[in-house]
Amino acid sequence: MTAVENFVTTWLTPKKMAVFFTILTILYMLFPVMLPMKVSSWTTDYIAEIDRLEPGDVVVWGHNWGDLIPARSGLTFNTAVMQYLMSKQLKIIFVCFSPATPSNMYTFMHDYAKSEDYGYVYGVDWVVTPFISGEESGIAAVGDDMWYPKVDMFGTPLSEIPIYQDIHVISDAQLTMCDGGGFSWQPMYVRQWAIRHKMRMVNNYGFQVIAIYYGIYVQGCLDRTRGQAEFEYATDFQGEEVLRFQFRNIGASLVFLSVALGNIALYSKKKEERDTVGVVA
Amino acid sequence: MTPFEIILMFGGVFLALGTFSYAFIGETKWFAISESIFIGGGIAMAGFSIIDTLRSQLANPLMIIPFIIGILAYTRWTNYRWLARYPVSVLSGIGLGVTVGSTIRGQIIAGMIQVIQDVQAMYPDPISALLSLLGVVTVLFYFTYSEKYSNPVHQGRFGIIAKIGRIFLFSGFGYLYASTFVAEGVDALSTTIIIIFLRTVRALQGFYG
Repeated sequence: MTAVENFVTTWLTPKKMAVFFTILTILYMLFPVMLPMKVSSWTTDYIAEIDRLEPGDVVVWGHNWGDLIPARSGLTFNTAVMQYLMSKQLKIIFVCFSPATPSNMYTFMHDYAKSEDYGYVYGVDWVVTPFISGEESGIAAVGDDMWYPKVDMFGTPLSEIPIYQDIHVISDAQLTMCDGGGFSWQPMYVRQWAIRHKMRMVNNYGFQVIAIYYGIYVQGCLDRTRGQAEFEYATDFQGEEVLRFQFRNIGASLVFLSVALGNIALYSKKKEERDTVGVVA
Repeated sequence: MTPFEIILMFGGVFLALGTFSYAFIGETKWFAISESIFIGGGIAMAGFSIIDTLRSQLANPLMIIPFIIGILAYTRWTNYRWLARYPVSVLSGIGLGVTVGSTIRGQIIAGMIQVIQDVQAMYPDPISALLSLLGVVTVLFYFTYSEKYSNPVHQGRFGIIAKIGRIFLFSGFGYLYASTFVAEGVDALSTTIIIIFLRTVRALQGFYG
């Protein structure tokens, strides 16, 4: 038995490997080695779609952030997107399809996107709708009539909100944006906004819409697996997604390493069994 | 961050570690308290949001119709439980009505038109265009479930058509599974580390300048 086989079969247990991998990843998180990244065409399409807009154009951003989502993942990525939109002086209407979304979006704009730093005023440059129930039927209703909620999240009538005065149907806006939250949500936005109203749309989340709709109804997509990190990287935003992406690469490398070690262990075990059989015979 | 926010942050970290502790040390009081606070907080937040929504939306007299339909769902707890079938029927009907038209247009017709256009223009390259056509045609053949009409493409000389369709189908499933695994599985650890360790360290760095 060689030294490597001896190490793998006798000393290296799954628990020791788990502890080693965890320490390694925590160390990498705290002291990352930022490797260069390739930005895919989905991400460059996404950025180009925003760059196409003029200052003052309106973006309708469909959201269904639940209770936990803002704290969990995508926080810095969404901040990067929001600050990019604000740097282009675009107006934003957040349409909320989950009960916790309105308060989440308001907190997000104040505490993370720092809308005041960009001179953004609530009601003039951005607005948040109340929770709109019904999932896909709610999305369809807003697509047909942007004034469907009647009031904003604070109960102010839409007739008193400046940003809404030129927006009556969704096609009055210049771009729609849809977020994630599960497998089924994104196709809902595509069906009810992009297909029915022939709206241009970019997607902030995932692969669910790429195979079916990309290029026809969705003009840019930040796939969660790597697109969100690419966006932060391409716009030079110091966020967590780049770190997460590199961490993921390390995780994948560790999977390959584990497979290699497992194969060595299997090979040496088989060899040992063969030798034992030979001795008995 | 203010000192109070720092205290709140550490409270959050304590509760987050409590929920993750289940994976390592099983069900403890620490886990139970964290889980209960999370569920209770979530329900309370959703409750307030729903009350807010009802307040703002019920001003519209027409909203009384969905309100009544919604109330009927609770008759399941009474002797008139048959009334609960109506909200289910209405929801299913509206769901299908809202979805089907756009789905047929978006997922079937538009997709087929796109494939034909791509083959005509050989876009993005001839091999990809022909592969798309092959995939669409063979997968459609694979999904013929009639015994009479599907046997010729599932068995015998032309059985290869369904087999190729199955390869395309499972390639798609493999991609979806891999993406989901990477996004959900591998990210679970990174998310934990980011939320519990990295954000805490950075917040403290910010607090102490």
